[in-house]
Amino acid sequence: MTDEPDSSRKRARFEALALPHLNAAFNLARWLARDDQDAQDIVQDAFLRAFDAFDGLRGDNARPWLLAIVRNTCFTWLAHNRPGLRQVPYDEEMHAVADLDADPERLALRAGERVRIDAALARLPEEFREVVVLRELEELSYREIAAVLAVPMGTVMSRLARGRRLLARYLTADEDGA
Amino acid sequence: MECHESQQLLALSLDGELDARSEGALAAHLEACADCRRQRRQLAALAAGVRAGATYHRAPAALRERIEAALPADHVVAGRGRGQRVFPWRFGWQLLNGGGLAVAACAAVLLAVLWPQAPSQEQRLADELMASHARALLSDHAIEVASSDQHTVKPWFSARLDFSPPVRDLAAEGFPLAGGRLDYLEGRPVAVLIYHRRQHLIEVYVWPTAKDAAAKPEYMQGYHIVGWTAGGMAFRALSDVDEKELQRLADLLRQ
Repeated sequence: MTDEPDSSRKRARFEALALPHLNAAFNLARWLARDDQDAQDIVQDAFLRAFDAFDGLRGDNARPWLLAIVRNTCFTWLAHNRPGLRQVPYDEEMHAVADLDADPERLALRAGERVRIDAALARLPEEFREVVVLRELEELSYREIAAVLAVPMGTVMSRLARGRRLLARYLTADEDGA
Repeated sequence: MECHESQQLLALSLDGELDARSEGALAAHLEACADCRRQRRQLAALAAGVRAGATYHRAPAALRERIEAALPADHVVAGRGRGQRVFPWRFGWQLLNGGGLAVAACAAVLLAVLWPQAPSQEQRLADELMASHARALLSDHAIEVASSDQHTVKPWFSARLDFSPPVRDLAAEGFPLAGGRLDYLEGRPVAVLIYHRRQHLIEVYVWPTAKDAAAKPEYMQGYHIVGWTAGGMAFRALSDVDEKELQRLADLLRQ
C-alpha cells in the first residue's frame, strides 16, 4: 500500500481542526489591527506558526489555542510595523468611568447602529477590546478567554467589566451629540 | 445578598458563568431590588447591542486560499481524494494491511484508549478546582468562617462535614490562616482552607479518600495546583503564587 508521508497526515489533521476557526481568527486580528489587509497578513502568518506548533496541541479544542497564536502574532506584527502607534493611554479614560448608571433607555441600543457601535468598540484600548470581542463576538467562556490571553480568570473578569463600562460610556456620551 | 455583591454577580450570570446556588441567591436579590434589576437591564442591553451591532469580520475567501497554498505538503490535497480518511492510529492500519489482524485489533484498542486523550480524572478535577476558585473570589464567599484561629476553624468544619480536615495556622512560616469555607467538588462536599501569602490567596481543598495516589503538579491559566494525600485525606492546593511557595505550604501541611 502506498503510505502517505507524515507531513501530509499532519496537514490534513491541521486543516480539519484549525481551518474551521479561520473566521474567528480573522475577526480577532481585524479588530486588533483595524485593517483588512494587515489582518490577512497576520492571520496567514499565524496559521503557519500554528502549523509548526501543531504537535503541541492536546485535545480537540483548537479554537483558544489558535486564537492565542493569532493574538501573539498580531501584537508582534503591530510592534514591528506600527511602532509608536500603540493605543491611547487609558488611565485618563479609566478615571472618568462612571458606573453603568446612565438612563437605561439611552443604553437600549438599536440594532443597525453598526457604525456607532463599531466606532465605540474600535475606540476601546486594546486590552479591553480583545476581551469584549472574544466574549461578545466569539462567545468564548471566561476559561477560554483566560487561555487565549494567558492570564488568570479573575483578570478576564475585571477587564471585561472595565471594558463594558467604558463601552457604555462611549455609547452614551456619543448620544449626547459629543 | 448586598447590592455590591449582586452587581459583581450580574455579569457572570449574564455570561452564563454563575453556579446554580449563586444564581438562586442573585434571583432572590433581584426580586427585591429595583436598582440591581436596572443594572441587569443595562448590562444585558449593552451585550445585546454589541452582539447585534458590532461587525463580525469574516475571513475573505482569498485568505483561505492563501493559507492553503502556503501550508507545506501540498500534495496531500490530491491524496485526500482517494477517500481515505486520515486517522491518528495509522499504526493500526499498517498492521492491518500487513495481515496481523489480532495484533492490529489490540493496537487499535490501545491507541483508541490513548488517543485522542480524553481529559483525565485529574484534569477534570483541576478544571473544577479552577471554576470553584473563580466563583468564590467573585462572589465574596471565598471565606465563610474568617479566623486565623485553628480552634475556631476546625470545629466549624466538624459541625458541617462528616469528616474533620486537619487545620493548622502557619503564620510563623509565612502562611497565615485566613479561614475556611465549604465547597463541592465532583459532587461531594469538601473543606477549603484559605491561607494568605503576602497579597495572594492560597486555597487548600480537603476531602476524605480511600486512594493513596500522588497527583503531579498542574499549571493552568496562571494557577498552580499541587496535590497529595495524607492520613486518608486528599489535598489540592491552588494559587497564583509561585509553584515553589505552593510546594512549601504543601510540605508544611504534610508534616
